[in-house]
Amino acid sequence: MAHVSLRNLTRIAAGRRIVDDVSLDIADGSCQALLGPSGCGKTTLLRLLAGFDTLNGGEIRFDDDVVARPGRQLEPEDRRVGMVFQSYALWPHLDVAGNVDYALRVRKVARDERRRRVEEALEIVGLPGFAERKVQSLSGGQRQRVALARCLAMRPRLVLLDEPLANLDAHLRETMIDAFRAFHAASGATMIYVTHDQAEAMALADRIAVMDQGRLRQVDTPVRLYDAPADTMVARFIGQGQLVPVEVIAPPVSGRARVRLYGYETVLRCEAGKRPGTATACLRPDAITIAGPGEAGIAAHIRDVRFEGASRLVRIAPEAAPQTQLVLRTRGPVPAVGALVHVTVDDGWILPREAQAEAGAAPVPQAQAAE
Amino acid sequence: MPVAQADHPGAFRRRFPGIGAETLILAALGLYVVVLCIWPLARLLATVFADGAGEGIVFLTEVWSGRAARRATWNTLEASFLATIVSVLLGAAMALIVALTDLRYKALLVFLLLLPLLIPPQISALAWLAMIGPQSPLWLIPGLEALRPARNPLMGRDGIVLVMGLEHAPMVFLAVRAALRSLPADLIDAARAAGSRPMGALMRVILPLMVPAITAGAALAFVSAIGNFGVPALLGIPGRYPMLSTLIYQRLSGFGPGALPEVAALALILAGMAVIGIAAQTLILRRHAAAVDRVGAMHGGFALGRWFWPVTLAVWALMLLIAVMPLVSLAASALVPSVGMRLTWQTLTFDNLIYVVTGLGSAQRAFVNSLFLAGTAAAITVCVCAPLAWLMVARRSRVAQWLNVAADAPYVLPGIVLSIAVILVLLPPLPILGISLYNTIWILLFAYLARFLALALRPVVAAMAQIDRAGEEAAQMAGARPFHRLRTIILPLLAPALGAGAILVFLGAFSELTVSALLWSRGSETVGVVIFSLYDEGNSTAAAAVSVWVLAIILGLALAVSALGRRLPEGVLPWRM
Repeated sequence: MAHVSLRNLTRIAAGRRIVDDVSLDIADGSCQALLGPSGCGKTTLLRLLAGFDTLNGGEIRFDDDVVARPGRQLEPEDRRVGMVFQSYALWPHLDVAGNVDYALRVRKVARDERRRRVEEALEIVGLPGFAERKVQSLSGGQRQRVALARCLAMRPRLVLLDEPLANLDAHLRETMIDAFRAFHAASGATMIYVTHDQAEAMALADRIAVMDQGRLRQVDTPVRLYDAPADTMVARFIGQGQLVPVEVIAPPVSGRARVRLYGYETVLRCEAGKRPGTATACLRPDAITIAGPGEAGIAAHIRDVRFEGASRLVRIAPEAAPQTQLVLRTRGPVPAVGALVHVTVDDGWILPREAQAEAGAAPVPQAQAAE
Repeated sequence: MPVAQADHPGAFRRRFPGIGAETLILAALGLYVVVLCIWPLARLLATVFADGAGEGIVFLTEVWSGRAARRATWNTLEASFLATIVSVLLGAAMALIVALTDLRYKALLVFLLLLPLLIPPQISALAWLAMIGPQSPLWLIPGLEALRPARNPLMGRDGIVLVMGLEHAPMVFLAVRAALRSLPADLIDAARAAGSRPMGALMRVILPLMVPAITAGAALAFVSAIGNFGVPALLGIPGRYPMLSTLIYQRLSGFGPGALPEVAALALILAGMAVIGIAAQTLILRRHAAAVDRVGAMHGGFALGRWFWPVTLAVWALMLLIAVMPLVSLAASALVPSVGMRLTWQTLTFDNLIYVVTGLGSAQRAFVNSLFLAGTAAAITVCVCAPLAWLMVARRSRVAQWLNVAADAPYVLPGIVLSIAVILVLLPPLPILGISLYNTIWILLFAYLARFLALALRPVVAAMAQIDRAGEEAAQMAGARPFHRLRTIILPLLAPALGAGAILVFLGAFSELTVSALLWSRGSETVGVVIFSLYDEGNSTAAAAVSVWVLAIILGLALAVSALGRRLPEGVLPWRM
């Protein structure tokens, strides 16, 4: 219900730029994930949106209203923003109905209308008939559903979700993701979802913003983020990306360029206009295949094999760079540890940006183990 | 389904904070704390240093060089030091036994040990006098008749040391028990695995790690001892062993307000000693905080094995002697017709108990006054604590955090220092109103409010810190403003701690003597004062009878609050296991 626009948002605390010059537009009614490792500033960004933290620079607008700029802050209670907390933040002295209709009481909504809206909200989150229950008698998943219903009942124009699944076990997360989708469909509100779990972000969000050290690294759809990471940080963080040095040997043609990798030639995807020369490519474990007998490929020794149910994760060390380890995923037979195999690279993405600006001129990134 | 639409178009108002509700609450609380806690103590300093720092120091030296002052200072240090040794031995030993052994009925043991926190010092002193004195039921026990003393051996230094030592042992006990609870079991298990027997682990690992806690507890016991008035008043004045607190009391009650500058100087010396002790305790605790990682579970306790029965018997015999017998003796001395009679079936009478509440005017007034003062102080204090703790913890107000520190001062400084400071500000007519509160009951209320604010504030702040901050943030998101959030979210969650805080203030104020002794006037007697006066007049039987009533009320309330205990957050009630 609101278009959210962040312009050059900065928050400084204890001399550190927790949120550093973040600009982001979030479309009305969309679901935007903020994804990043812990301490990257994503929760602070959420608290800036809620109004719990003050910003040092930049501007936040909901539609055309300025809600925050340095020195001028709309109080949280005036923002008409809903929030779902990691700890659920249900009030233990109120029953389920008391929690859900709290905001309506604050706004002096008539009793019948309140009851109707509580029932409606509980229906949507899958807890019909729970109105009289004590909060303490509910399970974790049920508590989170009550927190969602509380949010629904107040009809916010924007809903902020702060790691809402972090306290739930793996099985419950799956069903809660469905509950969030239903919630999003029913409310139509713009949603901003903070998480460190990429699977959650990919399952829910229309767009994902990857944050690191207070800055936005890439804002894109889940598919683009996975297929075409903008830099090394995103490539490593999303989907077990492993970074390898490549030599681009010819200018790209329709988004593909011929490269040399450990002496082996293949074709990888890249941005138009990528110049020949050294570059870094992001390879996914699924895109590396053990070649059949006699086929060409990168010669490598098998270091270890990890059984993963349907597939196997195989760690290999190329002969050309024995200190480097690459991880591939296969469903086929795997030779014994120590054996020499040839692997082919079927897909990969040449990073448009090099590592130059980040973390004090990092050396050319080495391929990384998949963990 | 179009669920998401604004309720009123105007609901989303543009609001930028000017002077908000929070600022107003903070200003009111600030005024309250400054008037009650800072103003009197500042006036005390100003009185001594009225003519500049140099003159003030000259004046202090002059006062201190008087023979009586020097003797009182020395006695204060001597008796407090010796009493601290008693407190440390008893408190630390009991903490080790309770925390590290498989002794049974620990909850009752801890309750008995912590009774002195509930029982005011003058009643403890009376009880011990009744137990050791010539009329004690103790000497009725076969075999002990020969030990019956001719006069009471507790009068004077040794009695003060013993009673104060027992009175302040809970402070050492609580400090050491807290440290033992945060001592990871792994450290002890590692010592056992390395080949130490339990005794070896105790000597080489546990005790060295307990040194900071024991020292901090000792500093606290020492500060309490130098500020104690009830015990030196009952045992030291007749025993001709003056201490600073009793000297200040005697000077002021003997010479009247004319002696104020001199007693202010004495009070400042006493306060200085207390500040040194508190600073020592704070420093030790701060250093200790970094020493041990507080991870891992608490140790389950060593099995005493064949020592089980000897230790059990010894511990319970000791508790019987120091916690139960004095109170029984006190009750016995209230149940005989007059001083000096032995309690037998023939002499047993309830006349005294009935007389002090129906026939004795001063005692009747005292009960009414003390109930009124304690109840009012508790109610007002709780109303202040809730918003102050909220601003301090949830809103992280720096100013509120300073107010919390300021509120500690009148509580940790000796009570007699506070009463001098309060007299200094309330003796002259109040500004604007033009009336003096001196010689009215309101000066007592003022002093109690200052004295006991910290007592209620601590548990409320502890409880506030345990409330999930997100709970209030969720209410903010729902559009609730500060007052509304306080009323609908914070107060309901804080209610048990506020109740506990109110009862702690009530318990403290109800039988208070130290502050009241100099502030009461005819018509505004309190029960603490009446017990002291009756004893002073030689009417120990009536004093004991009033004490029995006080004990009944105090213990009844303590049990009530313990029943509330299950709903209270951790760390709110000191005597809870």
